[in-house]
Order: sequence, then structure tokens, then C-alpha cells
Amino acid sequence: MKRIVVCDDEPHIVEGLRFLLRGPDRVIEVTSSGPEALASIEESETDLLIIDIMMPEMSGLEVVARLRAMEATKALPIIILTAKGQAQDASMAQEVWGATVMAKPFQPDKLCQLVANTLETRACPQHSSI
Amino acid sequence: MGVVKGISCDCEQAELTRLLSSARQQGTPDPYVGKRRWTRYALGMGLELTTNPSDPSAAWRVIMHNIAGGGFGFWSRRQVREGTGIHVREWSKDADAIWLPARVTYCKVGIRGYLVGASFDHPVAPDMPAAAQPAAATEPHAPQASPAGQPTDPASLRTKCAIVSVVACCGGLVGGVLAGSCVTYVGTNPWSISLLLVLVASACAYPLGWLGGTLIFKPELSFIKAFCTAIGHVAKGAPSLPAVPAAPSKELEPLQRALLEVRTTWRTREDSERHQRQKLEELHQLKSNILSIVSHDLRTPMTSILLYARMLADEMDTLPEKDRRRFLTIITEECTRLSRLVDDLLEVQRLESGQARWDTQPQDLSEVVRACTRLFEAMAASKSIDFTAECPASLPLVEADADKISQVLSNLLSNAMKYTPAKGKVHFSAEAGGKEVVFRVADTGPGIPRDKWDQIFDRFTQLSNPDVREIAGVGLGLFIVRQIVERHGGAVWVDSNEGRGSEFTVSLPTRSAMVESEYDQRVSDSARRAVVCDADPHLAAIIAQTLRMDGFEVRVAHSGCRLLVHLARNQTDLVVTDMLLPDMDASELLAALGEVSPRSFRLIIHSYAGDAPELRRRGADVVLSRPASAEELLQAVRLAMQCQSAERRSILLVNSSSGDLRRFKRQLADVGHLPIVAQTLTDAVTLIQDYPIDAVLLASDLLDDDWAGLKKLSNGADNDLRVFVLCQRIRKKERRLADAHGVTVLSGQPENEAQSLAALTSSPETLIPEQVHEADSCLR
Repeated sequence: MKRIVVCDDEPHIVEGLRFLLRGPDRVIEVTSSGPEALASIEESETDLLIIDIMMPEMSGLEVVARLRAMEATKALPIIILTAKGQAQDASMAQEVWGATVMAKPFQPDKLCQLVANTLETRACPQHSSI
Repeated sequence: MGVVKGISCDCEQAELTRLLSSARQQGTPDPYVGKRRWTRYALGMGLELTTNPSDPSAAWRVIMHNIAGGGFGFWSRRQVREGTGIHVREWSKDADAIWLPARVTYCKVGIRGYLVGASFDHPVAPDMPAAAQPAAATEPHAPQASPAGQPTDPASLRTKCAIVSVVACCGGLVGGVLAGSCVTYVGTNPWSISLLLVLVASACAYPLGWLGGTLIFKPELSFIKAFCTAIGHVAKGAPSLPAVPAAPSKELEPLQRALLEVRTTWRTREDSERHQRQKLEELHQLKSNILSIVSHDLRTPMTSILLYARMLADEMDTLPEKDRRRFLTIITEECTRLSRLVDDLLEVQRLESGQARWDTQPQDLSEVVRACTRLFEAMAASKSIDFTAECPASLPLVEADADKISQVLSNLLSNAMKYTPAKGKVHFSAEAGGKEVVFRVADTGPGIPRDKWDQIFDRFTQLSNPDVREIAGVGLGLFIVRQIVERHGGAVWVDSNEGRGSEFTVSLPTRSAMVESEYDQRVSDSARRAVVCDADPHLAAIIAQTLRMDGFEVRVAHSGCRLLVHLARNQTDLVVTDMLLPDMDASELLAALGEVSPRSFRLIIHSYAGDAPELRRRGADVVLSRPASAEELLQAVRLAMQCQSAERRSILLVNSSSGDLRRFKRQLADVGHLPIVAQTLTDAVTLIQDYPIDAVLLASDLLDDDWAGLKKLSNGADNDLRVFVLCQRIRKKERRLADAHGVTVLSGQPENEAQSLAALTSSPETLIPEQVHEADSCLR
């Protein structure tokens, strides 16, 4: 069973992602803010985090930075979804933290593909590219 | 030595505190602190009057932002008069900055005997930086700034020439004596003797004259060298300002003054350039914010649409009916959100560029309110929010655009619905309170932190961390709300308890309350046209943009000639001009503007230096110190436009069967006044109560024998109302009745018409110039 945490403040998007990524061997946790996502990841072992950048309370990038600072989640695969055009921070997240960045609006099948690939190579997290 | 009467300051708080405490230490009885606004208006430039804490014996001191002859203000007349020696220095935080002696050349005395304007001669700055100006550093003649001393009079070049001649003569004399002693060697031939005398005398006079001349003219030579270096600095566009050397002789003072002016212009230009750079940076920052936020807000709904549409397309056959419906609903909602965002963007653009169409008319908004709340009832039910709305059956009439008010209410309500969680409450109320109609939208959402209460009404607020949505989803809705409400003469504000909810309040003035400002509104409604004249194209563009944002249609001219041509050809409401134009000087410009006929525009002078009262006397409505910020400019515009409505008199004509009043009406409108016609005396009384009427003209045949009807008029009006009675013939009886009722009789005869019109439109009292008035109110 693979556990995926999805974090976005847009209810339609998390709901859609939950539907899109559903599968027999997957559990999808839906959260709507950074702290919620962190709590959910701490709670039980997670295989993938899909997170938005621009959110109230805590930026998605901050969540990623905190996860990378913790031993347990150092290698957690992360997909960052961003609606900000040409965000330099996002590319930094890709290079430094090994997260994959997808610009919104994204192609649903590409995301599905990426999620499937990431979960398969869960054992050795590599810089994946779209 | 004089005692400091006041401190007029627009410096920083710390500096001000220091100045105040030092003034108190010196026993200043009641230090006056001028407000920034006053300082700007009355002084015409940013000057500050202060004491020198380290030298209490010193007399008057002025700290200036730019050294140039200009106004300074607010000293007791007894202590400063023409010829008084003062000390000035440029504004600097450095306590050791050098004070320069100067002399008051002109004083303007305001009410209560205080100086409201004065100017002084150009001070001489001796501070030449050693690196930039070695000649001046060793210059023995540069006057040292002695705080208590007067400027040392430079010697005249003529005197120096005379001294050189005397030295040369001395040389000649010595030569003559030497030659005389040699006479015995050349014999007695008179030609030989003469030749010898001339040769020896010249030989002695030349080196002595050269030596004396070099020594005596050394300061002048050094000055010229320093002058050339300074000019070289200007020409090269050096980053630092050239220092001005002291003129060692009177004849060289014009040169020195010219350099001082170049320096002043340089400095002010640099100031304005810095100001522009700052503006541009702000604009650039705003642009980035807009791009970032708009792109985010456009991409988010697009993401949802793409996601759901794709899932629908891929799994059309396998999806249960319920999910398909739900997906389609979400797609519809997101499309609506997208189109609303685009609408909002366009609306903001229209509001800001003044292109929005306003269809305002007096109306009862209760119907609009009910229609709006009905729409949101369904939405509340779907989100299981407890929505209550209360609205009286009718509301007082408000001069409003129903569509726009509906937009205001729906923006506020949709925000409330958006941020209130399920099972929360949203309450709407509309009520009439005194002179206003008040709408309230209260929710039980997350609330808004106190420091964001103002910010949320700004468009594309700059967020401290752009990745974190401090105020989730606030885009343009509230900005539009504020624009519309303010355009209706109302106000909108928020009151919030973080974690417990927010309450938005909109207050719109009722029609009767609006009557006061109706004339101003009318002036601004008829497309206002402005011309900006400035030799500096960047500054002109910035001013023009500011005015456009304020709803003006703006043209830009870069020379006085262009400005005048434009004014001659086009109807113009406002002129904002610099005084230093490439093709004409200040007095030429003011004279030419004064000759423009008919003079329908208001004039704002936006310039560096100048005596504001004098400029106002010569036709400027508002004098603005350069470079003015956008806020200052808009304030000046409002002030200037108010001047207009003050001069435009509303005159009530009470009709009768005679054609005289109709003739008056046409003529009053021709000269720019506002004639209002009432059919009967009773109507007139109602109009006087509702409108700000300056004067009433009524035909005598409306009145009974003893003019008792006039009492009715005066009952309903304030004391300022002037009443004129138009009589065909003015006899003793009419004069007696006019005196008894305190009214003026005017002749209805065609030959006296001009006179009557003049009386009707004359001002009731001579207005006190604004500066003096303001200075006075600041005094106490």
C-alpha cells in the first residue's frame, strides 16, 4: 500500500487529484495547509507528497524545506505544483531538494505518469524530470 | 541677538525632538512646530528654521534643503526685516555643517505681524572638498563661516588694479632714481639721458608690476581655476556635486552666483530624478506583483478545469452518473470564477482609467438589496451556511448607480460566503442612519488581522512573503468595492475579530447629504481636461499619469509656447506647469497665462523655488514645491478645483412673468455661474434649504406691497445668503424696503444690466489668501 499526501488550499484541486490518482494499492490523504500536511506525514510513513506553493499560513516551499531537514523525510519524493509563472524558488527546490516541479495547469496524464514512476522508483529517489 | 520664536520643521522625529529640547534649553518660551503641510505651502520650498544648539548666541538660522534665494517664513517681524543678517545652511544631519552668512532681501508680513514669506541673498559656500578642488583648499581668501560674523566684503578688482599700478609706478620711480645715478656715465646728451631713464625705469617697473600683480590677483586666479574645475565637474556629470568657490572680488560674484544656480538646479534635478527612479521601481514592483498574482489566479481555475475535463473525457463510460454531474458542476464553477476574474480585471482597468460608465440617479436601494440577497440565499443553502438578511421596506434616496451598488454587495457577500466554513453564519443588514444608508455584511470566517484591515482594499497588495497567501484569495473584489463606494461619496471599512469573523460596513450618503458636494461632483463628472507642462519629459509623464488616475484627460507640453497654443485651441480645466521652461521665464509665462481668454482653467505651479503668495497674486491657484509626491499633487488638484467651485456661484432666480430673469439666466450661465430657476417663492424656499445657494434674485412683482414674503426666504437660509430684488424702477419706497429687509435692489432696465450682473456675481467678502489663513491657524 502506497501512501500519497496531497496538499493544496483549493478544495476542487485536491478533490480532483484524489480522484485522478486513486488506485487499488494507494491511499490518498488530502490536506489543505502546510502544517496539516506536515502532521499527516509525521503521523505515518508516506511515499509521496504533492504540494502547492502559494497557500495561506505556510508556503509549500517551507514545508519542503522542513521535510528535508528531518532525517525521516530526507528522501521523501515530492512533487511541487505551482501556479506561479517562472518561479525561481521552484527551480531551486528542484535542484537543491530533488523535488519535481510541475507548472499549473498541468496535464493530468503526465502527472499520473510521474506519480506512477516515482512510486516505482521509491527505493532510490532520483531527480526525476517531466 | 534674536530669540528663536519658533521651529518650523519637516525633518525626522528624532531631529525635531533634538531641536525642540535645545530650543527649550535656551529659554524659548513657546516653540512652534510647523506642520509639514504648512511648511510646504507657506514657504514654497522645504526650509526649516532652527537654532544652533552648540552656539546659542547666534541669531536667526535657516536650514535649507537647497540653497537658493527663496522664501522662509514665520519669524517675528520685529526681529527679521530687510537687511537683517541671518545664517543659513543646507539641510544635513551633520551637526557640524557649516553655517553661511546671508542677508534678508525681502520680507512679506502676514496677519498678526508674522512674516509669512521672505527671501535672502545667495549665501557663499566655502566648503570645497580638498580632493576635488586643491586650489580652493589652500585659498586664503575663502571666507570662513564665522557664526557671529557678517560676510567679509570682497575687494573690488578696480582697487586691486590701482594697487598694481601703484606698485608699477614705484618700480618706475626706483628705476628713475637708479637711472639718475647712472646719468654721469652717459654724458650730458639729453637724448641719451632720456633713453637711459626710460630703459632702466621700464626694466624695474616690469618685474615689480608682475610680482605685485601676481601676488595681488592670486585669489582671482585661484577662483577662476576653481570655477573651471567646478564647471568641468558639471560638464562631466560627476556623481558628486561641485562645490562653489568664494568670489574674491565683487566683479567675479556674478560668476559665483551663476555656479551656485547651476549647483541648485543640479541638486533639485537630482532630487527629482531620484524621486522618479523610486517611482519607477515602485511601478516595476507593482507590475511584478500583478503578473504574479494574476497568473496565479488564472492558472488555479484553469488547473481545475483541465483536471476535471480530462477525467471526464477519459472515464466518461465508467464514471457513475453522480460523479459526472459533480465534475461538470465544478467545471462550470471554475469557468465562472475565471470569467469573473477577467471581468474584475477589466473593471479595475475601467475604474482606474476613468472610462467606467456611471448611470447614477436618485433611487431607493432596497430593491437592489433584496435582489442581491435572494441570489445568495441559494448559495448559502448549498454550503449549509446560516444566512440572514434584513432590509427595511424602503431606504432613503441615494444618488447611485444600481448595477455598481449591486456589484459592491455581491462582492462583499460572495467573500463572506467564501470564507465562512459550513455551519457558519453570514448576516446582512441594510439600514438608514441619519444622513447615510448603511450596509453591513458580517461573517463567522477566519477574520482578518488588524494590520491588514486597510491593505485588503488595495489592489494587488504587496505581500511580505509572496509564496504565502496572507489573506487568502483577496484579489480585486474589495478594491473594486472601495473604488465604487468612494465614487458614490461613501466609505467602506472592515472590523474583524481574528478567528471569530469579520464585519464589512458600507456607508453611502443620502441624496440630501450629497447636495453639499453636488457641484464638485458635477465639475468632476464632465470630463476634466488637464495640461501638464514641464521641460522634463519623465516628470511630466509621471504627473500626467497621476492626473489620469484621478480621472483627468491629460495632454503634455514641454515648452511654454506649446502650452499656450494648446490653451488657445482647447477647453482646459487644469494646468500644472513648471516655471522654469526652456522658452520663457516665470514672469513671461505668468503674464501669458493671465492673458488667455476666457480663463477657464485652474493653475498649479509646480516648481523649485518661489514666493508662493506672490505667485498666487499673479494668477496661480496653488503653488506646489517640486518635486511633489502623487499625494501632494492630488491634494493640490483638489484645492485648485475647489477654488473653481468657490468662484462658480449658484444663483437662484425666482421666476415671474417678466422676461428679465430669463435673460439673466442665460448671461449668468455664459460667464460660468450656475443659475437655478424656481417658479414660486415657496419653491425657492425649498431649494434654498436643499442646495448651497449663494444668491437669490427675485422679481419685485412676486412680492406684496411691504415685501413680507422675503421673511420666508431668510427663515430657511443661513446668514450668508444674499438676496437681490429686481425692480423695474428704483424709487424711495423700494430703497426703504430694501434697507428694512437687508436686501439689495437691482435695476431691471436693460441699460443697467451689466451693473446688476456684476453685483449679483460679486464675491461677498474678500477671501483671505490660503497661506496666511493657514499660517494663522497654525500659530495658535
